[in-house]
Amino acid sequence: MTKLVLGIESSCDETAAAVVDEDQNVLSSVVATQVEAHAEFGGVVPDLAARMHTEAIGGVVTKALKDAELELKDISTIAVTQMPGLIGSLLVGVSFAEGLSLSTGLPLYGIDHIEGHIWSGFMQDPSLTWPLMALVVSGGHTALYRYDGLGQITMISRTVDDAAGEAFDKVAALLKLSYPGGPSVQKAAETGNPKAFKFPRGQVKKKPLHFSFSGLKTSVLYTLKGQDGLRSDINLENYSVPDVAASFQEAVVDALISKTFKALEAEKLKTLIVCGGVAANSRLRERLQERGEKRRIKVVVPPLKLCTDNAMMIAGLGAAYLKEGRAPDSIGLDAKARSSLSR
Amino acid sequence: MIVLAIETAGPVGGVAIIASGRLTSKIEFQTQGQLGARLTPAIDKVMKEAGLSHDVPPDMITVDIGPGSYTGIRVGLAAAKGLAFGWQRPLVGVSSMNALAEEAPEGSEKVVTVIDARKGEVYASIFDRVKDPATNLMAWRLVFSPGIISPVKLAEKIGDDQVTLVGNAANTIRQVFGKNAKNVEVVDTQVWPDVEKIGQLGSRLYQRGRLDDALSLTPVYMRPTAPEMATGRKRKRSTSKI
Repeated sequence: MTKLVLGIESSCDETAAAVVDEDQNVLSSVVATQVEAHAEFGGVVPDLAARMHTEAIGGVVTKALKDAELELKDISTIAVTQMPGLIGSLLVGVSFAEGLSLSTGLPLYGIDHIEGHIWSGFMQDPSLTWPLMALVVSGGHTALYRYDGLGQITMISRTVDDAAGEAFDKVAALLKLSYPGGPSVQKAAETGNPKAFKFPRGQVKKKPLHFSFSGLKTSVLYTLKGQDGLRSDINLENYSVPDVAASFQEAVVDALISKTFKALEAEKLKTLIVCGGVAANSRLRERLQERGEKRRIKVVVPPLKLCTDNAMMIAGLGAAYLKEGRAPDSIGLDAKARSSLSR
Repeated sequence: MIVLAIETAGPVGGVAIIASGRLTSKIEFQTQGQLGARLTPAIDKVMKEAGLSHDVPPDMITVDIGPGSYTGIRVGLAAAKGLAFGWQRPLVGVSSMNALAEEAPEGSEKVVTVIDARKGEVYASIFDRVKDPATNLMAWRLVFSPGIISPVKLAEKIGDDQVTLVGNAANTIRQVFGKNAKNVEVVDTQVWPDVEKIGQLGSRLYQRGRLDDALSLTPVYMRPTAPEMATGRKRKRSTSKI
């Protein structure tokens, strides 16, 4: 009988659990999102996130088992996000998973959320083979990784300041668009002219593959406030919000695409996985496919439900570890705010 | 009855196994920094010492749900939920205030548990001693829980009553009384709930019919989150959307 892995994810503002089998079939996936609670405060509030994970975790795991019509005794292994993320949030998932491991005797894997995100590409397209490049782009991360095999990940470059998703949130706030900024900016950009404003493409001195988005955000701010920054109030009536949104989005997409394809060339790789919340952006998807076809690079962008935080990717990666025969981790996993893959 | 008790709300955490009311095994540890990496190995160890395992479970689990260190309580409660869920055994949450009251010396009739809540305030509960009809033993009954309160207001509430103050803010309250502190007795101010007390209290509550929903049990927080306080808006309870 095929072995089943229960995945648990609580690194940021979604409490998630999923069951995936050794052949990467998803039997269930439950995500309890806190987005509405945080939206009121304009961003993720760490203490609030940890409180809500503590309330939700038991119900979410119960539902994941129920949806798969399984009981705990049917599970072979538990996989839990160990890093990176908000420490208070991670601790809830890790502590619950370890309690569950002690009371069931099930082995446990601590999973790096970043490798989980990248793994979602393999769940989308099982024909993928190593080595490949992965662009992880979300509200918390923007980085390029070389992926040579399970657990064999090398960071190629990363953002030196804001994550791309963070820039979307901040610009959305400037434009009085709703939180989270990704969907609202994309929506506003639909009717805008991406060439209306010339925003910077975030070059980093001596590090051509690194990303930078804080200058872009400041440039949008100054455009709205006037060059001297003296106008204290932003009067959006003076500007076309769709034009600003479209021009900003184009600048982010340009920066992501140019650096990613430069890195592919430098590493001589022919396959690209793009994952994380910002991979849901349709303009980015469109431009990636376009450039991929031109450069003969295979581009895999998992669907939205795999791109945003979820436990399928955690359970799926756990199932891949299990199939590979990796030894389980000992109890006492240390939840970490930073990825082991960061340099 | 075999009880697994977990205490992570204060600076010194602990896990203990209590069998038929007697301590079988106990481990204490510092809760500051990397508590997550220390708690579950300690649980694993006390279980082994007491001859328990995943297929020889305790009869119940009890855990301190605060108030106290937010992160500490969440780590303890999340682990307790995972254990209760895996074993399908009952879980009982114990108030740290109730456990602190247990530290009062014999002969005390009224206890005020009081812990530092920062920002010049304390968190307090007031208990009196009654006979528990279920066990016929003396027990502390919560009379009044002002929660977050200024030391001066708490002193006013205590008034001329003869009380024992227990907790790390006990001296702060005594100082408010100044020379009029003749009715006020202070127990070691560093005292924080002991895991053994959590175990005994939890099993007593359980025998009295208390049973928490292991899935939805939540910590007792001293205050709402900072942005909730700043904006005066309170999130609706359990707004996670599945």
